[in-house]
Amino acid sequence: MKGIARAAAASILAVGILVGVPPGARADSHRDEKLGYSFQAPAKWSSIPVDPGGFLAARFQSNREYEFNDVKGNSWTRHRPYIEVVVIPYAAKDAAGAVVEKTDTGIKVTRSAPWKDLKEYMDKVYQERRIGGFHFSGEEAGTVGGLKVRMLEITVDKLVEGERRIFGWEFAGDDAYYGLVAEILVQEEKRLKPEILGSFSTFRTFARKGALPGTRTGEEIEIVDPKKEAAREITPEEMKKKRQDAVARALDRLKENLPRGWTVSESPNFIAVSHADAKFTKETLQHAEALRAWLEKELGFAGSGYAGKVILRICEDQKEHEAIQGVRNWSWEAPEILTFKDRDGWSDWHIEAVNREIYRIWMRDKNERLLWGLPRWIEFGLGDYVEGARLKGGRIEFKADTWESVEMKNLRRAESLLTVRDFFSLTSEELWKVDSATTQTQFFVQFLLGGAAARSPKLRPVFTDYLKNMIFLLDSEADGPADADAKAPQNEEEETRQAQARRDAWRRKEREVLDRLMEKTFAGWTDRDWDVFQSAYRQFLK
Amino acid sequence: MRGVPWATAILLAAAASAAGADMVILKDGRVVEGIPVTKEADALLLRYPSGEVRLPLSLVEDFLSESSPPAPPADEEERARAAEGKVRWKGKWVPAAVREKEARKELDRKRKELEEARSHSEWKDRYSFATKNFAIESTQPESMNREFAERLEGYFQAFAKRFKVSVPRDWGKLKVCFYGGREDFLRTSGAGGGVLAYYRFVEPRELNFYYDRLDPQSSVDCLFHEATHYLIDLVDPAFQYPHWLNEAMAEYFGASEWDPGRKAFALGAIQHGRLAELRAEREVGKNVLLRDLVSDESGAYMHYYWGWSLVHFLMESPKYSKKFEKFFVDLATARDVDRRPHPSFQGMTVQKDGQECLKTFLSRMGLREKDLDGLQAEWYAWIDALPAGDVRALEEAGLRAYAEGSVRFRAPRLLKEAIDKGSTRTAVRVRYAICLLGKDEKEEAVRMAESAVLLDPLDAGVREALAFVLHQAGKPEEAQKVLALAKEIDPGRDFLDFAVMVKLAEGKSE
Repeated sequence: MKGIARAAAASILAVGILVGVPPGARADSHRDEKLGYSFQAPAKWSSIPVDPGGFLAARFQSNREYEFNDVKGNSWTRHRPYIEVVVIPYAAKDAAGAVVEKTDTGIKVTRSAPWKDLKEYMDKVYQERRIGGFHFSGEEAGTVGGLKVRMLEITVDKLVEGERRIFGWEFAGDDAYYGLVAEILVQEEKRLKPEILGSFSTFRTFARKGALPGTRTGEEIEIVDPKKEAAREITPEEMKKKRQDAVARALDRLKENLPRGWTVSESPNFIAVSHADAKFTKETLQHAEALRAWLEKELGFAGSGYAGKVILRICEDQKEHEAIQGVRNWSWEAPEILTFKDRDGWSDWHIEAVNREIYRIWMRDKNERLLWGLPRWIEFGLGDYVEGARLKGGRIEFKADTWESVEMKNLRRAESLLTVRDFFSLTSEELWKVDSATTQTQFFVQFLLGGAAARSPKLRPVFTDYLKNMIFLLDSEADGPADADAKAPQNEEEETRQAQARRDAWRRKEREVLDRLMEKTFAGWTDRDWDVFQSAYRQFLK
Repeated sequence: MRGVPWATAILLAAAASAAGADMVILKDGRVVEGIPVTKEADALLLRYPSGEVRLPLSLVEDFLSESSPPAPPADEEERARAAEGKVRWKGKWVPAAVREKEARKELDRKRKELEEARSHSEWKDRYSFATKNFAIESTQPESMNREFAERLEGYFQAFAKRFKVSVPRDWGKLKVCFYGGREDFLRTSGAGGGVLAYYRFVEPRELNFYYDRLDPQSSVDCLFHEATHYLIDLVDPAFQYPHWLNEAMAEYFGASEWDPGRKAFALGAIQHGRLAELRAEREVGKNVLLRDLVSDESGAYMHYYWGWSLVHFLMESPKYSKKFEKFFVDLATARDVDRRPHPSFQGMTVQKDGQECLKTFLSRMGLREKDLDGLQAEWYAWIDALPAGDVRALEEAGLRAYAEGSVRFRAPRLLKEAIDKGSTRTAVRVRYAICLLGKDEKEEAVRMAESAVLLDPLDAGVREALAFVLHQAGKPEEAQKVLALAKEIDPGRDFLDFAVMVKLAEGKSE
């Protein structure tokens, strides 16, 4: 074995020796009176709104993307540099851990400050963001603008497309650490590092007018006792008030830190917080309302829950969308849909994402149990069907995209299509193994809701009846007797049987549900009825 | 458990090192500094502010105690020599001043060794060295690096010779990254939450794994498992084996045992955790059919245990092993086997489909379709006959039963049997103690949790578990004392489990 030698160190930060960037090439100074700091981002970088009150105080992103090509691996990626401003009160180090409390339905764990300084922040956040394998490749101390600074560096070099370098400067203020964190591609380091560190060097603090972020992250985990949960149902009025209050709070928080150029407008069921032009914002709201109206008309029977207002955050373009995506907070209590104006015009996927979110949020509001309990073919099929919604001439229309249509044609030629009976009888495991299962389920739902089935007296009610029967089954389950498995085992044999039953419970349950739905929905159907159904479906696919 | 007898220098969070501070180095590599240490006959006493920790000398690699006075003479001879002004030092009688000087020199040497190990404990300062076939990067101490490197090279040579493989010239040496613990592994390798180790099979090729202090044997198993994937790649670098066979072979070869004296590997060791999973399924009649396994095209988890057992059966049966090896090689290289382009990686191929794999299996094994049932019966009989009574097997089966919720009968039976046969894993005793709480055997539960602490007195997690058991046994004040000491042993831990488990238990009793 050869001798053991120390590995070469990664890039070394030169303390106090910075290649400065002429002041004219920086943006105007960003000044935060509430948190008491200022600094100059590189020229032409833009500010991205962040949710206020948390550790992330601001975010800036570059006006351009950089491309990385992996010739050997035949892949490429694009990266847009950014700078984040982080504020961590010194009190955070005393507030580690969590508070555990009892609630009506179980226990609640509220995590306290997850980090006490910038190094810990960077360590945890970059692991959470799954940026790739990384390590701290540098740490130096210095002084900038009279403040002590710890200068950190991370190298991301495993399981990543294009190695990255992350710079983090931790400024020690009077009662908090102020952190500047920036990420670039290693291949752009020569060009961008001086610019970014030059920008970091302009950081200053001054007397604050507002409060520091709290040391509770607000991240809560609820461990619910199912018996206690079932006993306490929330009333429709309580549901409505809870949602309205939550949305109002979320909106206030958004408005608090809204940069210039963003507007707020409302429609009956949506609140648009928009950085796009007024025309696009109006069109987006109209589309959302139309889809919502379609859902109420076609699927309103799904439940009696209160479908509350939803915040629609509309970014001016895709780059802004990507920047906000990684840093926003989200909760079911005050759901928010993030979208953007597609300036490139080459893909509809952002509209599909909006449609899917509108549908899922609405369904969860109306009947959460149904949303999570849908048979797999409806879960895939209905979601994909709704994705294809487009507003044309004031009406919502549904259309599969070209790829999906071609896929179905190929399946038809290869005679690999599922039969109508298959959709109602295959379990999720069986469906998963089927070629192009999700596309097939989408076309089947399209047939049931918008195709020939909708015009046939026999077939028209199939989808609705099936869902209504599903709702009935779910409701019966909730009110039913406790699982027999709850009885304590008397010996090892019983215990082993119960353990096995628990492992297989979901499979058994799924089979039972599918069989019962089949029985109830198609009671009295003959083979001839099924043949007609099958024929109509095949005709639709031609 | 196969022993891993080296000393390492993985650092615990402890008080800042100061010249002259007491120091304890454990055999598993942890280091405790800044806590006053006193030596007793067969243990060290570490005096924390909240209490004492008694550390058996059997766990200690070395210690440096400047704060404790020299031990008094222990026998007549020592008393007689003490009267002459002489003391024992490394088997000789020397003047006290000489021992003082030599001990100080030794102390300084140990500190330097420790500093040297510490200086490589961060990834940016890692060791980097090469063996014949590997380029190894590591934050582990040199002694451990040498030991693992020797095993890895030995393993490579044995497999390469058996399957006649060699490394393509343009591949160079495989980079192997060795981390000091799971946290470092997850951060630096970028692996996801459930991954224990990985081998990256496209450029840049590398293998990443870590040392698990609580289960060193699994560290070795993971290294060999991933190394087997690399070696399998060498059979035909352009072919990717079906998941079932790739993982099954990795599990089989991954359990190889290295004899450092003979510098040789013994194959065929039992993967006890996998056997426990298998047995649990067979007991309830849940069997995987041979034809289904061999023709499987998915990435199912069951390949790790059902697949392992099939390969074990075939490789350990003299009448089948050569044929099976031929099937294994031919699937990648034989001209009469159909393959298709890899759906994701240009220039690579995969099997045409599961039926092609089954067809190749039958032809190389010299079987017809109707013979499969007979072979399957032999396979199942082989599984049932595998010895399952040893400690490791009982531990794995017991831990699995506990994880599945069989905490009234099956888990306590297996865990107790493992303990009675000499299990030294703290996880086994802690879980058994929790089972005993469930059966209302509170005093026994406390004794069992305390015995876990004795096995690893410096594991704060085990003390946290003891605190919970004490709390549930109606001794909340004792529980708080134990928790206070645990927090001093590991100030960086959040001890959330204790708070949550207590609240959950309170909820259940209401």
